[in-house]
Amino acid sequence: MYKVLVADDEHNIRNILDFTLHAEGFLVISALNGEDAFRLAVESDPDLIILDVMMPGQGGVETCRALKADRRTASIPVILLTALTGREDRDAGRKAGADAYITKPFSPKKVTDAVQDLLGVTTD
Amino acid sequence: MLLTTTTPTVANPFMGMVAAVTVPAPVVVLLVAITAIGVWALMMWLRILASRRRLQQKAEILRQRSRTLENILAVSARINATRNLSELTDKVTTAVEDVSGFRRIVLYLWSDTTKAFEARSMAGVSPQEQAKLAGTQILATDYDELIREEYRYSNCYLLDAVGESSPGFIGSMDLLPDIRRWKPGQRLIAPLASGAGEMVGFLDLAEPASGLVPSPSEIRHLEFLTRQVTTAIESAEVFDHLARNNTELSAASEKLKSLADMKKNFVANISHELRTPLTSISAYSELLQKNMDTLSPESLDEFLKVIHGESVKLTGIINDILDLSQMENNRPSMNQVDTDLVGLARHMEDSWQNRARKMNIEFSLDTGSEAINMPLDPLLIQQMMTHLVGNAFKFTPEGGQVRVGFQETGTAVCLTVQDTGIGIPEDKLGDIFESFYQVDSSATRQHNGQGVGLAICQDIVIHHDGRIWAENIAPQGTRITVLLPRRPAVLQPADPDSLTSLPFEAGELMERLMHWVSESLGIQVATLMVPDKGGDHLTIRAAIGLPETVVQSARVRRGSGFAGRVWEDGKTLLVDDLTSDNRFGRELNEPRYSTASLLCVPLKDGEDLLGVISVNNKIDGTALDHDDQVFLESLAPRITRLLTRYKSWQDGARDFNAIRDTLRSTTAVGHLRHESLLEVCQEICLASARRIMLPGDELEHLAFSLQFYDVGMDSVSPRILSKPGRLDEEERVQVEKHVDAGLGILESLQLDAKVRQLILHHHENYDGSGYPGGLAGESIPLGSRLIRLADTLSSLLSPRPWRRAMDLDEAMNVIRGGLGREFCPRMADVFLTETEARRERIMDLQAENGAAADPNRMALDRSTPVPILI
Repeated sequence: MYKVLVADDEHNIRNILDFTLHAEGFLVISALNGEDAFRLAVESDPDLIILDVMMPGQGGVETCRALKADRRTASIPVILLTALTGREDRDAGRKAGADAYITKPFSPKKVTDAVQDLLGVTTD
Repeated sequence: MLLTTTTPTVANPFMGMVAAVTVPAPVVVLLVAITAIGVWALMMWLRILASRRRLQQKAEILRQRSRTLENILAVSARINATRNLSELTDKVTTAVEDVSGFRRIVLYLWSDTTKAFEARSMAGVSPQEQAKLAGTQILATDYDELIREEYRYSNCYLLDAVGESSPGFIGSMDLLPDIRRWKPGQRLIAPLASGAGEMVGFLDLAEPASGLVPSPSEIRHLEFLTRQVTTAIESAEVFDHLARNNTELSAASEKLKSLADMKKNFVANISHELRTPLTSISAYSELLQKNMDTLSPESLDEFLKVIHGESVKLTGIINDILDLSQMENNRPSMNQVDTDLVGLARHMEDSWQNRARKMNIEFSLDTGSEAINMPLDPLLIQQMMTHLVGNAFKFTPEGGQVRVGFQETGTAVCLTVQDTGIGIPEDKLGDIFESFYQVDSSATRQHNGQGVGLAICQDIVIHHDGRIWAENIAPQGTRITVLLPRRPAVLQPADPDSLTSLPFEAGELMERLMHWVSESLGIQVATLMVPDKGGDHLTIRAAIGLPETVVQSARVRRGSGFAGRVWEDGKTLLVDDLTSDNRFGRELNEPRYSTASLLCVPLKDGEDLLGVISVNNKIDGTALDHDDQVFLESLAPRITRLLTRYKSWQDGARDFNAIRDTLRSTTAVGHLRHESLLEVCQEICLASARRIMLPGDELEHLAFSLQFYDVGMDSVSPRILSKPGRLDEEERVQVEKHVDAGLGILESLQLDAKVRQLILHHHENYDGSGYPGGLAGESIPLGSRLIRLADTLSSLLSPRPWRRAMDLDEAMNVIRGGLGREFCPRMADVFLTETEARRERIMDLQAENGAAADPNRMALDRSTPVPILI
């Protein structure tokens, strides 16, 4: 069973990701901010990480950069989740090494599709 | 002797003698040869000497020329290196002084703003004249008078003194005699024209050091220099322009950048604020849709709750944004009514208590007194309190406290909203009232703040002239304080005679004055009293803290009551305690004294008593003391000054407005240079005056009079002004009075006696049939005769209610018809010539105006037989 780490400060968003990913058969662990996300990523070695960009403290982009810079977590695919839709924001995400970029509001289906795509899982 | 002996062949009375001297022949031959050689050598030597001198002279001239040229080149280089226009103009005058030898130099430059040449730099000009020149504007038409072809001298223009009319130098300058004395009053005008032929300016030169008119070569040198100067000025102007543009551009780009930054932040924040609830709504509804069958009732309920909650949040954010943009775009018009602040808070208390219970927060409202009435916009204040209290709830954790309190100080009401929340970092305290400022995104995340509310609150407080600030309190939490100044209404009696016609500023002035007194002394009641028309009683001019009926009706007789006593003896009255002071008894019944002390100060303008100001009821309940007396007495001279200003306003409210309007229209004309028929007529008038060589100061008087001579027309009833046909005797008298009325209005401008004369007599007729003096012929001032013509012409050319506008020929014929009757023939002759010269412009302007009435007020000429055409 694949393990997905979700980091978002909005509990509604966490819940919805938890619900959807769980329904698709993933194990979900969650964090409320960037620092926690990084710690959990090192500790529990998830198969994929979803990061919200605008989080208190260390935001998603910085966390992503830190994860990609760390030998232990560099290979884990990262999806950035954000309300920022500008080209610059996208570029910042890409430069930080994110593997996918999903803008809010998002469709839960789109997130699970992206997760499965990155993990190379097929639903059927 | 020697010469004669060497020419023996020449018939000579001494020949016999020579022959008689017996000298041997070979010696004679030798002597002759030697002598011949000597003579030849001498002549050669003399010739060489002469040609050497000529050469030397030539060389000297050449050296001089090259020195001058070198000088010019050096000067030009210096000039060209100067980029700063004002620095340059000074350098130019110095350079011209150096090179040309002229001692009096005025540099005029064309100004695009005033559309005239302005004196920009000068040398050798007396300080008085300098001051005069500094403000002079030379219009293009005036300039054309300077550069008439008959004055032309090379590419410059040599003018004789004003008054002498000997023509200048016609034709080529080769015809000039070599040396010409410079006549006093002569001027040399050197145009500064660009290569493209555009006029940059000109030099007005006089008083050459040599005392001679410059020679053709000197003129060429000068012209060489003027070309350099022109280039330098042009490039400096371009540079100046560029530099200005550059500064403007960089300022603009700076502003744009910060705007862009703000916009970026704004967009980022707003987008986040909006997208977050939107994400929940869309995602949860999508899940609902897809998993309707499989969801447990609990999950279903939870999903719907989230969707609803986030929708409410979204609505709130959108409302906030709309509020703010409304606030920022069109400041809401204040709708201040007397409002009970406590009542407003009580009205919302229930909903606050509910919210507190739900959040497990302790809420308290301490209003201090039962009611706090003050002029407020109740809707805005309610909105502000909702935001402040809502914010406090938002940032306070469970088990905390939110307290709302009101305190009254004498001059303000203080509202505090205090919580035991997370507080605000000290360095951010000043910024939190900015639009969309967020202390920390986490705070917003956690508490759903939008960062808009406080900006709105600040706006509302500013609308009420108040202040708002935030501070952290120990051990934990934030306190927001709103200070709303309490400004008692200033009452002014509604006197239909004075008040309705009073300029707005005067009423406002009174209001400020009263606020100033009451706020500086911290008193509740302040009364300013002035003598009534009869001079026996004082009436209230303005008051704070007194009932309306008292203000409208109070009359205090000289010598009676506190104010009456002060008015009579001109001395300050300070009563510590009315109850124990046995000088007073009856006055104690006055209900207005809530404290037992009173201070009354006379307002003196020299020996004149203009009124009294009395204050009582200190807000803090203490008695007025000596310090207060000293303070109010020190304010008294200032109050007096305001009062005299007020009085002059009151006396001359009408006149004041008329003058103000006239001055405004005058300055507007001066600035915009909007050409109108009236202006052309004025211009013709001034041009005629110049043509008849009216001295400079009289020209000024005339120019001034032209702007103001018909101000008095305001005093004539519009009915009469628009009445077609002849006026009856009474109406005629009224119209004739306009001259006096005008002078009355202008009185306050302290006109020069000569200007007065010009205006006074502008309706006199040459044959003595005019008004008001009935002057005739040469006894009418020249300027008045010219104004008469300009007035008539502009009137004829403009449409009137009873007739159409005349065309130029008709109008000129009317004037010709009045020669010797209304108009001075000599002045009219010059005036008509100048009018003819402006025929095209007048016709253009008339065509532009079409049938529409000329908006420029112009005296109507009733006494001439003119306005009878329909």
